[in-house]
Amino acid sequence: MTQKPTGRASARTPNRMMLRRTLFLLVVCGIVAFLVLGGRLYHVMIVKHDEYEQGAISQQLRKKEVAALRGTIYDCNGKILAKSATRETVILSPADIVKYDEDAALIARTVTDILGEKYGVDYETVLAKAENHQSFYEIVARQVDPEDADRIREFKEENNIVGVWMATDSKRYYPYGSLAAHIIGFVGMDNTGLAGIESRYDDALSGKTGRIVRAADEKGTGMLLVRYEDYIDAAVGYDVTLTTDATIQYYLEKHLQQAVQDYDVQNGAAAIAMNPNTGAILGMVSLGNFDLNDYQAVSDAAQQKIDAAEDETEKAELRAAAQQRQWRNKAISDTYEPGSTFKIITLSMALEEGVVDENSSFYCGGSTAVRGRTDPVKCWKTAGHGAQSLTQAVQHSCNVAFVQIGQLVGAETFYKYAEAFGFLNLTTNRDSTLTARTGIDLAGESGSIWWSQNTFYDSENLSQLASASFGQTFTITPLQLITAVSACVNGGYLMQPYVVREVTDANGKVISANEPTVVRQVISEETSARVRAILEQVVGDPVDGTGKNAYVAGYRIGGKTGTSEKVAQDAAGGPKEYIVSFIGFAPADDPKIVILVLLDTPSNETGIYISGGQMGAPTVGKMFADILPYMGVDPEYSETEKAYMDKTVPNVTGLTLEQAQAALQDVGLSARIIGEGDTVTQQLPGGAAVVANGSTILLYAGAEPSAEQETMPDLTALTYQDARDRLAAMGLYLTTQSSITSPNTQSITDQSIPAGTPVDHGTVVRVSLVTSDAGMLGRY
Amino acid sequence: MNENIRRIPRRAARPEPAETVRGGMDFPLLALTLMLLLFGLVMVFSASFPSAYYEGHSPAYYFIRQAGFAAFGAFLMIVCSRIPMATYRRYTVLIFLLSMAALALVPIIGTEANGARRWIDLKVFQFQPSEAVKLAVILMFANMICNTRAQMKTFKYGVLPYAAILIAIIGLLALEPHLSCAIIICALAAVMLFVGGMRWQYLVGAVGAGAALIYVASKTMSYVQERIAVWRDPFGPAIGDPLYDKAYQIKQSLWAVGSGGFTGLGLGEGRQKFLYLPEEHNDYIFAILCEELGLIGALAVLALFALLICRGYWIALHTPDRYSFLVAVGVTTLLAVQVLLNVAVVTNFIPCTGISLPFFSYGGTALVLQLAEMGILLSISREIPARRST
Repeated sequence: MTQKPTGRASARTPNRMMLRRTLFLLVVCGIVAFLVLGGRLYHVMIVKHDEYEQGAISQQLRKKEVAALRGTIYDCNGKILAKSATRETVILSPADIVKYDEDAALIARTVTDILGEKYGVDYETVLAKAENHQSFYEIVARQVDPEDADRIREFKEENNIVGVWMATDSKRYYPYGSLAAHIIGFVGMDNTGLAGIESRYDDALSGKTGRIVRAADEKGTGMLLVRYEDYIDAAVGYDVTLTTDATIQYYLEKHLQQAVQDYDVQNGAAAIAMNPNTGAILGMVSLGNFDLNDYQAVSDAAQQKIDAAEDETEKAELRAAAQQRQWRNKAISDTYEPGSTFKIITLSMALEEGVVDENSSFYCGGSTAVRGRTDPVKCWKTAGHGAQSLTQAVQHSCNVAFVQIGQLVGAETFYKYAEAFGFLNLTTNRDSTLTARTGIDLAGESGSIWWSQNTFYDSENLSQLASASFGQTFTITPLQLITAVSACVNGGYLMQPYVVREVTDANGKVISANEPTVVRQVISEETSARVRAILEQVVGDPVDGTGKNAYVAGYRIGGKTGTSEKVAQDAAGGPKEYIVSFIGFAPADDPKIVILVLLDTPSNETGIYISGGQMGAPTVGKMFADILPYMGVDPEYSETEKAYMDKTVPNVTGLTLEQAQAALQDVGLSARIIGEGDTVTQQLPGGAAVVANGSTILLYAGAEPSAEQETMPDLTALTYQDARDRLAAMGLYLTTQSSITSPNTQSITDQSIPAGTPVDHGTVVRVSLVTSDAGMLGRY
Repeated sequence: MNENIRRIPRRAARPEPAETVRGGMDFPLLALTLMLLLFGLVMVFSASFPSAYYEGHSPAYYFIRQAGFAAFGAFLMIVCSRIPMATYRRYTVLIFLLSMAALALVPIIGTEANGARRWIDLKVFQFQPSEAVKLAVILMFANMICNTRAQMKTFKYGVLPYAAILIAIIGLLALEPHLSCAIIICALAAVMLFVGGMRWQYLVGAVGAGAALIYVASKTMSYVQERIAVWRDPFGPAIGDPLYDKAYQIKQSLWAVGSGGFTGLGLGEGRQKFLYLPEEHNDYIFAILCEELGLIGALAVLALFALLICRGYWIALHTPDRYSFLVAVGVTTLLAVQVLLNVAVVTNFIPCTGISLPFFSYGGTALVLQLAEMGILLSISREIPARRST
């Protein structure tokens, strides 16, 4: 290159400039340009790799979702409360029907024939969907049974149809129907939880949707040589085990339902059963109820109203309102003024603070003046309770005494305890409504509304403190009350209420568990024991106890009544309406269960005196009578109880008269022999019937019982003994689940066979009794 | 070292060119060419089997045809390397006129595909005259520059005749139309005139005029505007947007290239060739290569090309004969322009235009002529005087 071109040769050989320019070319085209392109490749392939790869993958992979089966919900004993079964969704692909020139009418006809009314499918609708040519996805029916889906599959295969296909789906079943409806909740058509545990634990229950991912070419078919398929298994949802016991739940519902019927309760009712030592919810019911398997359906009464409505808009509004009402979990979503049941809280703080003790005495003259109030606070007993001990004041549910106790505690201390018991929340809600919630693991919990600190502390106006002392002028949820009362009787510990015991996977491995959580200790163990002892006198004292109708023979039960007037209703000038309630716990010395029953607006028409003592207490008593034996709490009967305890009739048919009489005598029953024979050919009532102690059993020795029928007499207001004797004369028998503690003051409130019904000889009628001495009738 | 191959000394004395004295072929050039040829064949198979399959052929359909072209091309390369450069020069004008004639025939008897009339059906295969014209221009310009000698610096002799030829070629290509080929020939012609001694001011003027033309086109012609819009943002247009279809190919190409990463999905494992990326075995085969072999494979191929191009210029620099020198520069530049433009298009570095990748893209005429050009380059390498002493 350094050679010097000379002469003629210079024209035939490249000159220096040419070589220089070529060298320049070599550097530019052979080196620099390639370095630049290398940099560009690095940018596209490495820097932008993730972005571009994602773009490529998004078009190359076809995904198909596989629905996961939802987890099961169990009660605390492993009974299945909610379960999912595999179902299928039938889908049309009209675009494919066009593409493969399939017969839309034939497809629509066949699909309609197979699915039909069972799934609410009609030909016109299906045909309209099948002819929506732009669409690839038209759902015809969801939750189709596998056998029906199989018939469609057969049709597909026989006719080589592409335009209709099936996707996995599932359907939720609730074996107990309406049982624990508000706890369990329900799922929508897409299997998403909409209420209760189904909603709150939706993430755990719903599992993970599986996917089939495969590589496909631009036409959607598989790639030649590239066999890329990936399965992400659908993970079955976790199972949820509740603290709720289906049996306890059943008893709660049964007796609450009965109470709603007996007292003609207008505005719904709620009951909660809680283990006071853990905060675990054993049962929770809100009425009116609904069937989880058909949660959209409203009650017959509501349906009648809807049917009677004029136009569709009104119908829809009525339906929506009825549904909202039935889905509402009154036990945690509605707030109310607790009334006298709250006296347990006032009592507990007063004992804990030492401002009162069992030797304190209170005078009730029927009313008491309160600073800042123009009218004095009246006791429910306008005549006044006179001088009372602390225990008597609680037994009497004396408002005057509790106003005094509240003032002894003082506004600031009272307020501090109200917060400690979980009725208000100063820390996060200082300036607003002070709303506090228990934080239970259920959807839809409401919170309390309380006085602000400034109003409550006003030393010139003690009316708030006075009303609050007996549970008025603030509102809380039933759940908040039972949680706080549990703290009063369990040794002083405010527990965090919970419904879910544990979440487990398909293999039973525990994924998460709710352990009993102490929020704080509010009162001491010792104070708690004193509170229990006093409250036991409310139920256990057959004379003074306002809660004695909750008594169950053989069991130690404590509790407190409550009757609160609905202030809003009063202000509106209408007839007085009440929420009556009772909260009870048993056994009184070592509580294993606390039950709160709340009846919203019993009817004035039933003739039964509206109060917690007359309606709430007997309802809770009946619940305890079933639940305590179920829980394995051994009864210990007093002598009176033994004397009035119902007896089970032994089967003596076929025995000689002597043997039969002896057998009856053994259980405390007597016999009347009809006929001339030596052996018992028939007995009334038959073996295993439960009748009142001392009943006379009819033994037929050869003779036939009279075919004549008797007319059931009206037993209402009779004492147990009177009713028994009256029935005995007619060859009828009596039994009761109520406890006979004071036979002379307890009277029958209702009977299982209405008066006037013709009945056969030997029929057993079941009655309920309440203590209804005139002195005890009051709104306490 | 093979005895046919000689080391060429850096500072070899330049004797008078003796046409009778011909040495051995340049081994590095031959080796690089064969390596690229084989590499290209393998990639054609990998990239084309899905298309062959979907079109109803045997999966190896394109591969077998390309292998046939490669065999024929290799044979032609050896033949071309045996022909002395003097012979080429003697027939230059004839070759040029025949090529031009063929090109002129295309608008009349050519067969059409994808809206362009570029091929003449020779029954055995489709001949593409525009490919031949590239070579003809190299030979013709080299010959003209040698004849023009010192007058290269004048406008009348150094610019006008070449411009006239170019305008004629561009006119014929515009009838097909074959824009990318026109661009390549213009670039090639500019480089040859630059090396041939044209005044750099003219060259700057020509480049400036070209740039101005592109600028005006980008402002006035909607077709050009669309290409530029798509180049700037291939992912922008959504389905339904008229630009979506135009952006589709470059988007698919970027997804293919980007999917490669460092090591790629593996030879044959690419997915974009399954009807996603159009022209995956022709103009966009490099995208499939990137997807399957990753950055490492792509850089390896670029390195082979870079070495081949450097070797081509290196041979030119050592060629004593001016005509041979200019042909070597032309052939190498043609190779370089095609490789660089193709890779730049596939990676969306420049707006897209249809340029094939030498040795890789499927296509008979291009491959055969490419190998023939390498044969000419080899023939030139044999004229480099051997080092006298070792």
